[in-house]
Amino acid sequence: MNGRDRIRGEGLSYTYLTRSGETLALKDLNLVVRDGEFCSIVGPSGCGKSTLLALISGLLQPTEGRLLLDGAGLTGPDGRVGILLQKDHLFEWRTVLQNAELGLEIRGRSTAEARRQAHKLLQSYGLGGFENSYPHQLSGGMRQRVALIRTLATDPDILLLDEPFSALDYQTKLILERDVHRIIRENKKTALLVTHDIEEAVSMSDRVIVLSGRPAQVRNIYDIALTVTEGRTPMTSRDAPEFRSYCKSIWEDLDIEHRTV
Amino acid sequence: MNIAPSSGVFGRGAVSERHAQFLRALRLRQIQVILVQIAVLVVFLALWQTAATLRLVDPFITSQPTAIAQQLVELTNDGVLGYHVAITVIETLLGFGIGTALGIAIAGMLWWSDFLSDVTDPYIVVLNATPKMALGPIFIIWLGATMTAVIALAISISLFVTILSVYSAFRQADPEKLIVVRSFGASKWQQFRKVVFPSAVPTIVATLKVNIGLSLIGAIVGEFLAANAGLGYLIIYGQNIFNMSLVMTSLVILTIIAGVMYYAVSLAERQFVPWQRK
Repeated sequence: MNGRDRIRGEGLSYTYLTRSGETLALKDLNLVVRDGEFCSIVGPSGCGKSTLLALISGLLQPTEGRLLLDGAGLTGPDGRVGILLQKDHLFEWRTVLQNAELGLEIRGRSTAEARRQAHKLLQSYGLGGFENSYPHQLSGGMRQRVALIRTLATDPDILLLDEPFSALDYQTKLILERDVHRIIRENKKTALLVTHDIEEAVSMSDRVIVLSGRPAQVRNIYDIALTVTEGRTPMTSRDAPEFRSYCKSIWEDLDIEHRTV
Repeated sequence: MNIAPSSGVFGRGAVSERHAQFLRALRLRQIQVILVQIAVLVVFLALWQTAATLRLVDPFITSQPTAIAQQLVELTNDGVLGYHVAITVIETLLGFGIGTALGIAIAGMLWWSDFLSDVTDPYIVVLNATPKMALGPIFIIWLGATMTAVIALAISISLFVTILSVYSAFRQADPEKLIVVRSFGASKWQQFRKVVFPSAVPTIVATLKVNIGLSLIGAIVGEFLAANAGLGYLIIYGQNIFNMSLVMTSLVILTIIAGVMYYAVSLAERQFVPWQRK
């Protein structure tokens, strides 16, 4: 932990231009995510969190400021970054195995090699035997797991998680949070999670960045230090004595008590 | 999840006695539907035949099932039936194939270039709204009273509706699925091949079903206007010599061809859209 900077955003601004005018989504935002860190971003809805992830994944270019990945600028989507979205977006016309291979296929790896890699990941993450099923035959949790495998198959160093658990029912969500957390730790990935769920952010992360409303700016940063007896998981984190106070502070940052929807 | 069908114990894929009863009821209903369907046809033919025999209607105007059957046998024995059927089927399939393929290709180009799409939009909309039958005389003057003119008419009738519906399906491809493949570094061609085209396959298959019917209309009308072969020609010829049995016989064969072609496309649908298989 606390290794070199993986992601560094300096004075990031982004403006959406449409016929009816322009919308400032991010303004002069600074952000650092270090190697091997699990970092979360929470903020009010519509504060520009997804814009930020689009910048980091190279799908958008900042209007102003610089975004550096391992110290160098970014001109487009990059193999070092993998994304996981709120919906699984599995391709219904492909089998589970074919879905898992998608990224490798696009990156031009040989079919045999891609198939082996995807097959291995499906086996180790509890989807062995479902290779030839179609997505509609799977439960929501299993589908999101396949989406994760699709992303992991290309072996990115950094995972951008854009509310990947928010469409799941509560129990499935807890299970998947646990699994994703473990997978990311085991494979020593750097992760940036965007979420509305404060407890999810605190329970999974080493650091939580709280953003203000649009245009997004950093309001507060928390280094999460929790006292847990045996191995930190999102589940044990929730039992830590400090857990509630972190949640409460973030809650106050977001001014949930006084805000209207 | 599927329960593996146990073979033998309860028979015909049933997993329990209750399930076997349920399946029997389903099969019985299926048989009833088919029996009634056949009965409707038989009653209709019987009424027609009786009315003609008893001179309640004039068989010269309405023809009658026995005369149609006789005509069918004659045409087959002369060997002309196969010839006319083949001509119409070839014209329809070529019109269908070329119209559909060209329509999909043009829709792909419009997806590729927003500018091209904006520029051509009013032209395609107007051409689609134009009654294609009115183009018949133009094709005949340009291409002669030939099979080519008939095929051109069959193409024109399915082309524009294909462009419009397939292009709209291409555009409706899920933007987030495109984000997924773009994040893997997909080129525009890969976006088309991996997301846009597969997303549109159900629409394309539905378009095929419509187009096979439209192409048949184009081929028949084309034969009405200018041809010396095909079922459309046979119908017009029957009309000119006031042989209603010939007209009716051609119509019956036409109906069968339309049915067979539609069924073939439905079979293809199951082949191309396996993830929607029930």
